[in-house]
Amino acid sequence: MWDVVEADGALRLGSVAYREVWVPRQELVARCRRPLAALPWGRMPLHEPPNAACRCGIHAVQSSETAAAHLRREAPRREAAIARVMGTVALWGRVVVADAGWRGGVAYPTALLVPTGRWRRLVSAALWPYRRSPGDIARELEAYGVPVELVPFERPAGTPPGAAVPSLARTTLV
Amino acid sequence: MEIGEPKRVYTIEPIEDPVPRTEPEPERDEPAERPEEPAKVPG
Repeated sequence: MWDVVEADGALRLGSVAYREVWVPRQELVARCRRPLAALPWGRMPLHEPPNAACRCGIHAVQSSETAAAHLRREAPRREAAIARVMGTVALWGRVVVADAGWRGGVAYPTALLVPTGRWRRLVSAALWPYRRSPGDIARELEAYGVPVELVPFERPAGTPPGAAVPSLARTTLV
Repeated sequence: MEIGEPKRVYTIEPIEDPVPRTEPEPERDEPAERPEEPAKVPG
């Protein structure tokens, strides 16, 4: 899962956890930020990500539900984000396999899914008339050279606003 | 992102490059080479 952000005058994929932009036609190489973030006596030695004892690396999960649950808990959409998209990703280099997903050292998207739907269109048009439509976003994301699909997504009846869980029949999600 | 306890660590080298490095050539309106003039038939 990615945030869509503006960078260098174009729409680009951005990490949902850090201010990291995924450059089209170029792999993303993970960097471990934990050694610098931790207190000096609690720092792990510098290491190449992903390390099994750390939480570093580019994260991918097996289901859209797991990704959505994570986003609700830990990664609310940033103000600068224009949209949030899902997709599949290739991980290579060193890869840590865990119970519910993977952490990779190198990654590149293999397909992108841009959510669309009547509810989203109406709200977007009312609140952000100058924001890009899902079709515009999909067209710009074609710069990554991977398949980009518009995926219908309607908020299920009775779902509270903070609990959007797109039901997407896909597997590997960032 | 919480993905649970690590179980294994692999080193994966892709057989093919997963990154589409080059953009496809834009379609041209004109042929790349000018077609040859038709040969004159001696008459």
